[in-house]
Amino acid sequence: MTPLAHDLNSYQAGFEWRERHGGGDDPVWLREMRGKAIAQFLDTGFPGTDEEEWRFTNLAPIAERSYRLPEFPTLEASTIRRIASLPVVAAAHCRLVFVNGYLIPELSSTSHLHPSVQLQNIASAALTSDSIVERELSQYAAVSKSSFTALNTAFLHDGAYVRVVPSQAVDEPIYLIYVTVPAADPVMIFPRNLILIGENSTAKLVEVYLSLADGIYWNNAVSETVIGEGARLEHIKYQLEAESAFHISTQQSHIGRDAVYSSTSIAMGSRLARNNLNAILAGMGGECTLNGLYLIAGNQRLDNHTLIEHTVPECASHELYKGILNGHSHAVFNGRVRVRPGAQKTDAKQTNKNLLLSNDALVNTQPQLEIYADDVKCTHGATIGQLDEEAVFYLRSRGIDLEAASGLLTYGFASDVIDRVSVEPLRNLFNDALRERLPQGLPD
Amino acid sequence: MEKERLLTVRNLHAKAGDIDILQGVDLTVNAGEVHALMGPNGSGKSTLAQILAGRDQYEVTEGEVIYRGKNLLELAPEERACEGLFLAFQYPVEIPGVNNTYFLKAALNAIRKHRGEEDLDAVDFLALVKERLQLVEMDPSLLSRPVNEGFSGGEKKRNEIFQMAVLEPILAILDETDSGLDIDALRIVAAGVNRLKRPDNATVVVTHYQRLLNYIVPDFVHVLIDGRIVKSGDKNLALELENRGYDWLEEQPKGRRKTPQRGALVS
Repeated sequence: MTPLAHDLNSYQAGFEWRERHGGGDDPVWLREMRGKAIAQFLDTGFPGTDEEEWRFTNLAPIAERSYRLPEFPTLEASTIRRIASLPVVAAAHCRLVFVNGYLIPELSSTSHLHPSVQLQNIASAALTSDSIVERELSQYAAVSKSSFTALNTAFLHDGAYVRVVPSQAVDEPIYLIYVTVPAADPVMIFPRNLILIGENSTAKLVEVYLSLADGIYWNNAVSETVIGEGARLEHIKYQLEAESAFHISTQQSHIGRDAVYSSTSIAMGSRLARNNLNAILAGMGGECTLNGLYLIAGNQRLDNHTLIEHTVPECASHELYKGILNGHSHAVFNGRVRVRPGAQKTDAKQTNKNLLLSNDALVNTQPQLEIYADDVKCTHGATIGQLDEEAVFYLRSRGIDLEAASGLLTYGFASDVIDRVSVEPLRNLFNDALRERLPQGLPD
Repeated sequence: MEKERLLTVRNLHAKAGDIDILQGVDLTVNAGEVHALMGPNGSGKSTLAQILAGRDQYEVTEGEVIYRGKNLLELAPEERACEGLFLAFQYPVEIPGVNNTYFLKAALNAIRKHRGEEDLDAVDFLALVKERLQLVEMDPSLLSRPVNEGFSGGEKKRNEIFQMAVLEPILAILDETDSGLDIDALRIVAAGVNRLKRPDNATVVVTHYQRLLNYIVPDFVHVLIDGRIVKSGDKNLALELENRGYDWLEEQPKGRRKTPQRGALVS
């Protein structure tokens, strides 16, 4: 039996159980890393709303519950077929599929894999003593700065390891798909990804989080991404968790000299979700684009915290986050742009736009510019509003009824972000999901 | 043969907030006719156009509008469009994220549905679109862009006339379609409008200047001042306005005018 995690002690118990069951065979460096992380987590615990970073998001619904650590899932053939036929899985030619945190080789497919890409699960990479994994893992997402990174690291047993060697153009997107099969007891899962893009290489990476059914569970994911000098990465995250689920994610990206990082975060699922997206422009000439779309309704809570750090001169960052809220949903957007001393000629632009479709939806939007250099261009803007009346009238004046006009405008508001994704099958999936969730319906 | 009466505006009064804008407009438009509605800035031309299209920010306080036997003011904007009314906007609205073609197809099929016709399928629709594009010599690449987003002023106006060409209205109101057009674009847009002219439809051209009327020749010219049509005539009235301005038609100020008006540019 796996222990329940209803208070911090239970996380300690869970940790010990895990170390006894399988974890003990892992390399010493990994076990030490986990040991430090659990100590860190037990020391700090869950952050409260008295902390600035968590002012608008109360974690009590997550913290006061107990979770089980899932065991390796035994999947029936019908379940395997169901997962394989999920549209996003079917669209992913090159993929690792994890179920409840464990790699499922029969659902994964690497036959289309570019020969210069190393795509493995961390468990196998760590066990085969990959010196790069040992060197890079946990070097970017700081355990000391986040309870959730600490907890993820403490329970780091598997996840994806993606490495593209230098000077390669990898066209086929690489998918990391995390599927949860909820059970009666809530489970907690700790996906972990290490993504290394070599110098002057290009790649596309897609993280997907979804569930096979509704149920309470908690995904606490961490991705560390390193984009080498002159490399380009398009990084897409699609969060489609179950409506009763909790989702915490930390994406830590390190952008090298003249590298181009472009992130799109599409979030539609879960009852309570928090995305921490931190991008560090670490080399001159780097470029970072963060786009996001959140589409929530009912009692959903969704919190996007982004941080772009300009640490060196002549880097550019562009950020566009858009939200559509219905019902009693509540969204938080906090966009911090930090321009370090000496990071001259920084060009940073941030926009957050929210569309409220109901009177009971709520948005807290907060740009935070911290500028410690004097020769920079930084702009930000945030809007919260209803549909543009002039646009509604324009569409109606062409024969489109009010309902369809509202649907079309809402759709347009969102596809503005979706259209920036370069992977066409994904764009289609996003648009389909969007259409399904539009309260107003659309013309054919 | 008697021409079909398309539009009858009787004693129309309207206000925006507390400000009286229309103060008793009378206008009759029959099938096959082209009307020009002229007047100085602020005279109520665009307000009249917007009210006819169904903009609800104005309050009609008196009078009536009969469009093809129906009380127009009781119809929703989309119903008016489905009944064949079309307004080419003075300031076409940008709609990010909504593809121009998709939008136009949705509009056309809504109107066809209202008429009890089948939806046009993608192939027939594209054929129609291609043909009508040529009418206004519009760049086909604008079709796959979001509606009006990033279009130049001239492209937006062409897009309005292109939509008109596809939707084939019975009564088209062109609100200052000439503003922002250079002379070549003006000629093309006007040629498009002329080619869409049929015995069973009509056009009301709202304009500040006579220039457009060199290309779209009106059967009737009306001068709107202070929310009232103060003079009607044939195309020669437009030329006279070009020469004399509007001053000679204006009454002495009655304290209601919002801003002092100036005459036309040429005296």
